[in-house]
Amino acid sequence: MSCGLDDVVGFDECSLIHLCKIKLPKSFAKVLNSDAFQFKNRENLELLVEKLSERKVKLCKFEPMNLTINIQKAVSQILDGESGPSFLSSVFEKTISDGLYNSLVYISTNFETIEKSADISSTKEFFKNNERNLKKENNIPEDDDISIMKAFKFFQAKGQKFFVSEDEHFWGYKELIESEFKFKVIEEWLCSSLL
Amino acid sequence: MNLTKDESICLVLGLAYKHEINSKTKLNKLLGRLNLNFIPLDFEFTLHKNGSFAVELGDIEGNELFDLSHYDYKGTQCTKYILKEKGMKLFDLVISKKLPQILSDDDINEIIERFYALSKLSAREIADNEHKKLLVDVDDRFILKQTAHDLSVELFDLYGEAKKVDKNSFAGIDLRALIEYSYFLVRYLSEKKFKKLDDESYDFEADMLDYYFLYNIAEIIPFMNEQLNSGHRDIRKINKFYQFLVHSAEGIYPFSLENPDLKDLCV
Repeated sequence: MSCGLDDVVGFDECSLIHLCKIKLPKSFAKVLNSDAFQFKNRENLELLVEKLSERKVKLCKFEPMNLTINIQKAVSQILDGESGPSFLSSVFEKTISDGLYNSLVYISTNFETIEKSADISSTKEFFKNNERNLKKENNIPEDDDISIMKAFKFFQAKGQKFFVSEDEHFWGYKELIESEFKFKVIEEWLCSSLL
Repeated sequence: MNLTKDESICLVLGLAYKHEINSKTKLNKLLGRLNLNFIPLDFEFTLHKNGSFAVELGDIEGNELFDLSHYDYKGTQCTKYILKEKGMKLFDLVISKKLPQILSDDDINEIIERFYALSKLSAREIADNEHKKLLVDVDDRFILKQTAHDLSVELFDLYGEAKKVDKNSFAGIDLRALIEYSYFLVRYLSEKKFKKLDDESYDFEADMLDYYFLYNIAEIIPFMNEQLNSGHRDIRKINKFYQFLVHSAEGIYPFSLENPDLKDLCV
């Protein structure tokens, strides 16, 4: 299902964070055997953004962003995976956090902004009435997820709308989202399918 | 963030009376004073055998940013440094774009006033009691060593408290990093760098940043303590101190994130 000129691709904030590549100072680079840190889907995401931009597909992000929470989640992901150094761990955390923040600010300038919806009460009710058992997350999508879904539903597009995310609150409800919110959810690790 | 050599020189010249400084020694002293304002410079500061210290300016030449003018003063050849128009533009950029990354408006205004006043003094007057304050003199070796040890003990407690700081805010992450870096930097000074301070053969070609860092960390410990107990964290000030410690002479100073062997210095 490749994307064309009139299509729109929205990106979850976590997927934008996963686009970032952080140059590591030499002290950490030596210990981690790499001069940069990147998330596992980064190269696929970067290729996707590059190719979609060439095709003039509209790329969107949703605001207001939750930078503190999402960057902190990403940093925890990195450290939980035990890929941090054994010395100056707080300094390493700040290095990654600063790198993600600066990188994200730069990357997101290439994305058009869609304002998240404020009034989500009826949509929240909808999910409670259609609750599914998810494996990793709480069953009901977060308020922020719902505000994105509602905003994207009403975003005008001539072609199809796609949303890239690794959040189970989106891909765990993909069929329901497609029928009710009129956009297709693409799992982040399958984002190449849009090419 | 740190200031390049050109940015540092243009900053000092831009702040100076008539945008000129009438000797290399005075330029040295004013650049050195930037360290006491927590402004990270991309300069190495060296301590010489006779106890004086200077920034490594090398054979500084006039360029598109500033002119050198030679003159005779009481039979001695002297050099005056004069800011040019392009240097003034760089100075404006440093003041308006670079310094605000780490300093508040009040900090910047204070620096503008202070350095303007300092630029009217002689090099000797600018140096003031700097040697004493920074514990550079040979006679102060014992006090220097003791100070490093005392700070190490104080920071040990702060480091323990810092581990309890929550990480769900940028200010929390930054405070933890500042305290951790300060702790291990002081430990490096106390347990490695100053270990042989009593030896007759102690190398006096030391790095002045050792002294600036020790002095400045002692100055900010009350702030770190206060921030640990405060409900409202001053993220800009935390970042200012962090940037100074981490980015001063980045890659040149031994205890630097750009030293691939830094792990071995973290005792």
